[in-house]
Amino acid sequence: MELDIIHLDMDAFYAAVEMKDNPELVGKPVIIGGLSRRGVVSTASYQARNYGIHSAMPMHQARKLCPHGVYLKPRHGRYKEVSAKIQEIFCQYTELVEPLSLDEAFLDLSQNDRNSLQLAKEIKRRIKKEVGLVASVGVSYNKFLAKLASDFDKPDGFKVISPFAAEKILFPLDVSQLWGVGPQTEEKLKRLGLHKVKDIAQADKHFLIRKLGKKGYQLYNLAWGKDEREVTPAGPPKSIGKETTFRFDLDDKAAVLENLKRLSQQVAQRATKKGVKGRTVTVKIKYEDFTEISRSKTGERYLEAQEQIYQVAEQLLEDIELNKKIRLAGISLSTLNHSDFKQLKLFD
Amino acid sequence: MRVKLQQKEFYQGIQTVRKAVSSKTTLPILSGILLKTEGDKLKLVGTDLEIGIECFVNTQVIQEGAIVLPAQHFTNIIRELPNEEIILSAETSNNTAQIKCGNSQFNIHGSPADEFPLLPEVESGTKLTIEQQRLKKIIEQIKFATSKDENKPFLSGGLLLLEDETVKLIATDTYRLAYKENTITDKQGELTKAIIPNTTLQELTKLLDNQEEKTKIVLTDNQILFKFSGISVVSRLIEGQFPNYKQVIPDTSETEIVVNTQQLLQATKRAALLAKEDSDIIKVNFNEDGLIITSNAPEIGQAYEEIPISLVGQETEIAFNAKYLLDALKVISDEEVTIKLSGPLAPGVIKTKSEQEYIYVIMPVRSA
Repeated sequence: MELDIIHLDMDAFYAAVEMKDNPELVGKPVIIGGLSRRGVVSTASYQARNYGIHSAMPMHQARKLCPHGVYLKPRHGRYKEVSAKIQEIFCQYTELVEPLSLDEAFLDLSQNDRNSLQLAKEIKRRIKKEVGLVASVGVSYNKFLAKLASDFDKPDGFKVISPFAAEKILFPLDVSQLWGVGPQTEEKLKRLGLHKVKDIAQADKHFLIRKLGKKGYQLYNLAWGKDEREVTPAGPPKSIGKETTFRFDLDDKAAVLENLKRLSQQVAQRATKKGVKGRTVTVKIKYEDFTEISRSKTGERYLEAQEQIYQVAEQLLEDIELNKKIRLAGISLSTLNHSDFKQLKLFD
Repeated sequence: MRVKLQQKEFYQGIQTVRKAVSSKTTLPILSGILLKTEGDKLKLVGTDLEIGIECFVNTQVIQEGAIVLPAQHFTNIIRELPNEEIILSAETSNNTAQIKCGNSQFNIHGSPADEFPLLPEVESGTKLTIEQQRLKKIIEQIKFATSKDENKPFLSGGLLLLEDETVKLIATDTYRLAYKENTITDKQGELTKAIIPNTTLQELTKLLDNQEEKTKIVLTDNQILFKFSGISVVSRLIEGQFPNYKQVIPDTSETEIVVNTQQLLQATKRAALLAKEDSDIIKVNFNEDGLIITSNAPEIGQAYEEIPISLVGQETEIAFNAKYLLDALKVISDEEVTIKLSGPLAPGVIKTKSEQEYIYVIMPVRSA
């Protein structure tokens, strides 16, 4: 088990880019996110985090906690630009780069002859020098542990998890730290008396599979530091989705359908633009209490037209309880097929 | 209000105006239909503020008055009643209506008529008339090419151009463009341009009849009115600049063929059966000895269709989205069409000979 997998996570990326572009902001609590009444924080600088602000927090709450903070609208175009520069550096070391978002990526350095630890340090240094930003780096022998490592001593972290240390690091962790454990699974695990990673590792594998299915097996492996997922370079998109947070929570089905219609239109447009069709339609609903539910359906035919996508979405909504007010709705199209053809246009 | 009327005629009137009733709940009263006595008729009005439809039903007016009734329930009730005489009465003091027919009786809650928005007055403007069936055909030949892209509202309707003796209607979604021109004789007024929303075009084709009787059209700066068979349709116009359509209609070509419309339509339909799973793409070969359509759905199989044609110019091959081709062929009643091409990546043009000028421009699909 070689330490070839690294996970890089840019520290407070959006805020860091803003500070880089505008040095006056350095040292100030900078909060980036939607500035409207119902916006949420997408990134808070470390100074802002000292006030208790964190990402996904409603903006109005952040403003209460830190009234004198600098509140900025995200400039996605600029972040993309900076992210591309960082990607360029990655690509000089390996072809196996898997970006997770603009500020996060896995690298598999096994193809590179040089020592991976040295390479990881060098990449971190170069990002600092050439882009002017700080990355936290985790090095390990699989994706799960590399990501766990990069999270360990953020900001400006550099952490290695070796096979010998894995058990010592993993066992005392809360089960929620395992990849794939969301609030629902967490609750389920705790009801089964499994609170720490150690509990899962020492539980009976078949018991976990019986209770949690495939996920139980997955969690058992993760608890022992085993993760077989490969670093897969970004290919064509796997899904095309669009979601919207309503200006106010909705409790009217017709209004939700109206929004699904609009979303399916946007998804259809993006699919056409990318020249793809999909067989799976997923509808996601977030309730006023922030709980989420999603339902999907995979058909025989590849869909791309708005009417087709909406029709499935409408059916899916039938299976979703509308007993609480709804905050957000989303539609995505997946199981895509990528056409080799491009419909030409008369004009743009 | 108290009126007597026949169920069948009443239901027909309701269905006519129902098409304009708002499906959104922005303004609750818009989910209703306005009923109002006028002379010896009952006027029905539905509107969503974008489009308004008004029509008249013959009645025996016993007492004048007006009320707004919820469209959905009201329509369902009238639909299910037997084809007999209905007595409709409305009480203004508490906004309720009573519907009596045979042994059935319904009381339903309505809203006061004076809260219902008035349809805009469209009287002074540019005027013309055109036979219903001709207008219907003009709209049918272009409406499918309007865009569904909500980021380009100016493409979501048909461009109406009025010249001294010609009317033109054009629609495009950037992948294809449909152009239709026809003669008019009695245009009065200065306005020459308007973009009519797609939904209005849709409703018009449903409401217009295949008859010689004329439709009166009145165009103002932001509204257009169509009046025919006792029905008035008032529609808001779309603002914005329609692209220069002349620029995208090619005037030269390297290949020109004449082909039987029905044969091409049927062959395309069949070939499209095996293009479905992919992206409706068919390949068309234009050869001296015939036109060959092929399609390929890798998991299922291949289709091959051959049609005799007469070809002038170079042989060529081009790929189209079958749907775009079918859309146009379906609305052409001419026995033959002319197709002009300039290689696999240039727009193809379909023209008819005898129908007053119809031009359909379609962009090909390029294999990557």
